[in-house]
Amino acid sequence: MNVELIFPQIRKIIADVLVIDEDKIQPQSRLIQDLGAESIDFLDLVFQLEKAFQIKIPRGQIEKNARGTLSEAEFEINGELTPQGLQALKNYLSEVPENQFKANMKIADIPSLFTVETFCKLVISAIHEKKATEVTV
Amino acid sequence: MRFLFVDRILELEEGKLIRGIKHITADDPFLSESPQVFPSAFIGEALGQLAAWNAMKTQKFQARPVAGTLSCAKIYRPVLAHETLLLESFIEQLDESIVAYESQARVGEELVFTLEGALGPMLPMEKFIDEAAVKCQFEQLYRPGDFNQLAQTLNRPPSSEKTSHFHITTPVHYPHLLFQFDHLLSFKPGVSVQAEKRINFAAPYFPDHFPRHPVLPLTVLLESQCLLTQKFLMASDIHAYRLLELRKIKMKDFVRPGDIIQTQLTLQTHEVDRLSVHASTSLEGKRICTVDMIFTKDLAPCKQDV
Repeated sequence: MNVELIFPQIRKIIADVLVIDEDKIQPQSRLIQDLGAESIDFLDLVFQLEKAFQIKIPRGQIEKNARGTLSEAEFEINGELTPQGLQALKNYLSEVPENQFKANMKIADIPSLFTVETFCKLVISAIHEKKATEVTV
Repeated sequence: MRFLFVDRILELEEGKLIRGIKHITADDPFLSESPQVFPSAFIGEALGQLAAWNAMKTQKFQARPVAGTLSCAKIYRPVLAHETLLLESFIEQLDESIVAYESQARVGEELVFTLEGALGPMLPMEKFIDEAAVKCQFEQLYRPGDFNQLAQTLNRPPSSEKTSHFHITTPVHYPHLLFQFDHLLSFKPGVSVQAEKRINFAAPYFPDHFPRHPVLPLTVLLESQCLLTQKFLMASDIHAYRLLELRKIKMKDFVRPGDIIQTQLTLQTHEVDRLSVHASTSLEGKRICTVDMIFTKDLAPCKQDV
């Protein structure tokens, strides 16, 4: 499973959640800046993705995925990304252009970076996680 | 005038389901004038409040849900004075961030209203109401009992009393004027209408919704939009349609006392037996609430002609 394969279904769900036409949604579209998503839309989107793909997406999962092996203290201090944290975030959100990342970026501003592709990757990751759990059981 | 729409909770399984009742008595302050109809949106409010009680109890009254999104609300028939709503909410998902549920309201065996795909964010209780006060309200409402047995004893009209059910195809008159818009901004017959509503702190729903954070109930906004739509259709010489469903309801932000909101209704489709109207409400230029309203000419058979 890859982004290209999963994108059409995710696009449909996003269009439904944001009440916009599917043709306005591209993989690189930013949920907030380009598509007008707000906090309630993120809750709705995650819920709809969980239902559609039968997966669980815990709150803050993108940030957790981006943090990787870094400790919380290595990733952020007082709500602000450390240089290490910012690099880890850039590595994870590889689909986001470099110029979108600002030094001293706040954790609260991370969602402004999210694109449709970010959510495709999130779903793929959750599907793999689920399969790995099922195999273990 | 209270804005609490559950009279009693009979059954509760934390995080799973909740059942309760709401009596529509002749002195209910929210009834329309003849015919005495209980606002459909407030049946939704009752179901939402019922689900909220389950969510709050499960989260030990540390958080409460607020209006978020709803896939579909269906109206099967008007609910009248002297009827009792049998309310059931089924929790699909509940955690510290959201509650998702489906609900239904019956009168006797008859389904009158359903909610599908309801989703509400969970927010800290202390922002809205004192924890002790909401616990006290819950203790007053939660009196366990046999819901099914109670359902069987309610809404059995005396054999001599005739019941009749009908559908509303013209705007009803609410003496309390809670659902009025204040100014008409534009009107294009058969196309669109735009109206403005000013939010008055003296409105009777604010003390309960909520004591520490008064906000316009979504259901008041929805009922106002339904009424405006009916007037718009009449003025556009489009007659004999009744409200069937509200779809894709989304509330993005709070509306507070002192705010001025603008609602635009746009006729989207108009077929022989069905039409749809899109409602979009803005606050300070930002879209905060949207809904699609579906109307039908299909008038289900009455139990007895009026």
